Amino acid sequence: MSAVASQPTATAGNGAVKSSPTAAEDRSIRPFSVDVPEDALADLRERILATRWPEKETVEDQSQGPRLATMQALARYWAEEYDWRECEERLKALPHFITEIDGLDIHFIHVRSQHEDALPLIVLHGWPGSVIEQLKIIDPLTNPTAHGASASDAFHLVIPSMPGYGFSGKPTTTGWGPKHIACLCGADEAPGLRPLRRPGRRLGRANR
Amino acid sequence: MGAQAPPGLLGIHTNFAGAVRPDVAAAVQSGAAPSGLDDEETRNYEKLKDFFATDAGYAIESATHPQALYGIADSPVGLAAWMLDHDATSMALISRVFGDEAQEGLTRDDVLDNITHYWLTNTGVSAGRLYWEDRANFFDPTTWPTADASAIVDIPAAVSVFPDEIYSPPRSWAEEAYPKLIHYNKLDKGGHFAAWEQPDLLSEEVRTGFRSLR
Repeated sequence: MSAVASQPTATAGNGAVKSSPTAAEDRSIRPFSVDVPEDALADLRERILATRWPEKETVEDQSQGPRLATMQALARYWAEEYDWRECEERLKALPHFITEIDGLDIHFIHVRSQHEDALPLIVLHGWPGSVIEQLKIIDPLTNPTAHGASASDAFHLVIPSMPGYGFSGKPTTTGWGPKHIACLCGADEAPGLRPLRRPGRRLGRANR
Repeated sequence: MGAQAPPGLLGIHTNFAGAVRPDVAAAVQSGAAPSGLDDEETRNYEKLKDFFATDAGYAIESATHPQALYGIADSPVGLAAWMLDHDATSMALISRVFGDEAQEGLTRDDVLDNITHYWLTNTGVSAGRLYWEDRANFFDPTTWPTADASAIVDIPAAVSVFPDEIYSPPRSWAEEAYPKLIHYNKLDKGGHFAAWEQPDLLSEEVRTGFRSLR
């Protein structure tokens, strides 16, 4: 994971890093809610139970990859005890948004601290991570006084799903490597800096 | 982002620094350790060499033929195994909750929340394609894990080093990679997924790392 801090500023970036939206692009920020249909969870459970297993690895360690016993324990727990709805409830408790950049929907969680002078921070995940990987640091960073830290250490957070990841859109063309993604985060119209540049502005209004 | 330094960006924090010293990166590829490495640097050279020799298969497959991975879109267990398969330390750390070992850090639900999120959004292949986009860097240790070897992060950078990470850059490497290093700290525990596994330590690192920028 890496994190970047940005300074609220009224200056619009206009350099090489700026992403240029097409004329047809919808630059609004739309609220997004996580809601997985029950049949998707039933299908998942059926598929886990229907797994065709390979034979056990021929070594006594993980040097050939994830071990058969590990995967069978995982599958049993996944099918019989695991409850996605608990995770979904934690996700639902957070403010989610989607906005289109360079023709792709980008999903992000945006949590503002109650401390108005908090430092805006974009939190970025990698493979095989997701916004799930970052959920535990949201309260410690936005609400530091509840975690033994000082109000002067507070952050406002934007936590995007990378292109092709989670609730973001999937690229249909090439050219979506790290440099392009970094441009998205740095662009004035990006979810990263857009809501952060003008802390007083409401989300849901395009920043033009 | 640090290299692009868009307007308004004050600084970056990373717990997976792009700070492999160039001669060490080249040596990881050629197989001969550079002379003059101290003990800490030698340990890192060995870790990187082992990673590329035995553990980088997932990255190479995603970087070359991500479209061959139909199985992870079709089978939940196939997806789960593919996502567990990372560097040896991370794989052990994520897998251990499904065995009998101590359960500090991640829980079974943590691991399955992430995998289920990938399954329900059918993003195993689309997410892995990021390696294809960045493929040069995964074949060439001389530019790994820096996205662009020529990129200079010319803004303040804070680096947290977790001991179970794929490699643990010594302070001198971090100073070379980030000329404006404002924070460098080695933690006692934690690995590649620090925010997930050791959220209190990571949160404190972010607070401390950025304090001088406020």
